[in-house]
Amino acid sequence: MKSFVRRPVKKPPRPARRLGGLNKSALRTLEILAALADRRDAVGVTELSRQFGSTKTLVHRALGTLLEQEYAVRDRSGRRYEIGPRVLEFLDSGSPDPDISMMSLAAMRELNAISGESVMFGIPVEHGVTAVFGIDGRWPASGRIPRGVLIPAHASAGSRAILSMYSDEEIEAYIRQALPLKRFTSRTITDPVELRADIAEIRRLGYAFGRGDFVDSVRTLAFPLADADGRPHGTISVIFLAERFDQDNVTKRLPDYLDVIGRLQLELRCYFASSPVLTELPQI
Amino acid sequence: MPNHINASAGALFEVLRVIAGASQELGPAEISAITGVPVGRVQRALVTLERLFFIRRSEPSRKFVLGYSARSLGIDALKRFPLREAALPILRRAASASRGEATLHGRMGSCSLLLAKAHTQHSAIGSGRIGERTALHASEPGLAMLAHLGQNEVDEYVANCAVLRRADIRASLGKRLRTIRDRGFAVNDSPGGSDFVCEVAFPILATNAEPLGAVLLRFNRDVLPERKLDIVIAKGRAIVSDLTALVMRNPEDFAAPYGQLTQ
Repeated sequence: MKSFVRRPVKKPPRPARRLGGLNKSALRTLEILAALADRRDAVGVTELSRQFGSTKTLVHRALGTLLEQEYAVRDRSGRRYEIGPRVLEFLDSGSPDPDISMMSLAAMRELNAISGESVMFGIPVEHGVTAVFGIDGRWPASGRIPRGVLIPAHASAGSRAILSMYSDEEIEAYIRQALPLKRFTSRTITDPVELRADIAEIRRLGYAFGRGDFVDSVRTLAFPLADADGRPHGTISVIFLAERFDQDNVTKRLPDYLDVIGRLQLELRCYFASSPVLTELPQI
Repeated sequence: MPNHINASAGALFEVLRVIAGASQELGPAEISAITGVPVGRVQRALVTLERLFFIRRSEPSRKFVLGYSARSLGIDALKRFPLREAALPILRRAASASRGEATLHGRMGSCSLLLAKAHTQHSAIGSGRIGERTALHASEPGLAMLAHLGQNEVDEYVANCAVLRRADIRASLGKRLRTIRDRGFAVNDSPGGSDFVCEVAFPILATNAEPLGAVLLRFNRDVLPERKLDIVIAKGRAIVSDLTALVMRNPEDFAAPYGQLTQ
């Protein structure tokens, strides 16, 4: 596999003063809230006024608003401020949580537009992955993984992308349970040593590559989707027909793919941070 | 409104608080009705919050729910609780052992604060919201922590709690706390009158025996082999003791924020 360059995940936008037309004091208060959230220790009015180039009076007033709403609290000394526990309510709003597959749809459309190829969304189930929906490629003959088929954790790029998010102990447990690793094509990874090396490569690069290891005629680029704790939530795979696969072109466009996935990852990490759904590799 | 508070910013945070706490997406008129803030001011707050990604519109209604800047702040705030990071793998094991839900609760003054939860596909029980606060005496994890506070602190807590002023209720609470200390866990096998849900809470104690938090297992008795509670309690105790051991080995890493707050 060629070594692709990974792009860093973008940080979410934070309040900025460049936003014209918005209420300045509200913006200042949001900025101070963000600054409190960034710190693990308490901070004083003087330090905040220096940081934001505001007068102590304005900072004090912003802190007063945050204290009133319990988004900030005073520390034990009573003179410094820290983020308030009410901010934790932002993690688990009672509003309906967006469905991960629907959140992924916009990113899948972008990947489909960039590659022209089919893009599939898969979720971790039992001891592998299953494709739940996809977007067809622009050509009449496009690669596709059938929906609802259980693909064992070692057997495709998508399933290995998910496997890579489990702990080493969990992966070893899977290997022990699944041995001998089932072969689907001549390229299926059936050697545990090779599987471990591939997992290490996926973790390093941020994506998995499949050379017809589950279906002979396709090449796959698969991206793991994790929550804030790195636990698996799904995978997005771009499915290329082998006859049309151009590695140089894929290498060239890879930063674009990773940019799309990076933005999706950021959103997923925010929305799925508080509820680490248990998706253990079960007994085979 | 007090003069140390900015009115526009105050309205903005009122709006944000209502959206964060809502069980459904909200429009400007609904927010205005809940907060009493005029619709025009609500609209301006919504524009600011939406442009900064604190809220977003939900399709197809176009009403508002929390956005990812707000969630991101919540994640940052969670990082202040090192106990949560250490507890997550343990919560997953505990959820798996009980085939239900496992939640981590910290202490915030006189309240128990829900910090993390893990669940299995068996669980559809509902364990509250991250950030939710409950009076210490009003939940199993709170009781597990209250039972391990010093007698002076317990007395102060009881004195400040209106519902505990009756002598018989105070006596009943005292007996309950002694039982929890003796057993090492708090148990309620019919929370809310349910005849199938069961709750067991184990305290997480610092080296000086101060309660840093508690792990609550909440599960359906019907999924247990022969409905045997003892097995879950034994497994839960063993799993939580791993977390306690970790805390004991590195006590300075687990200083709990908000522990001394009285609000």
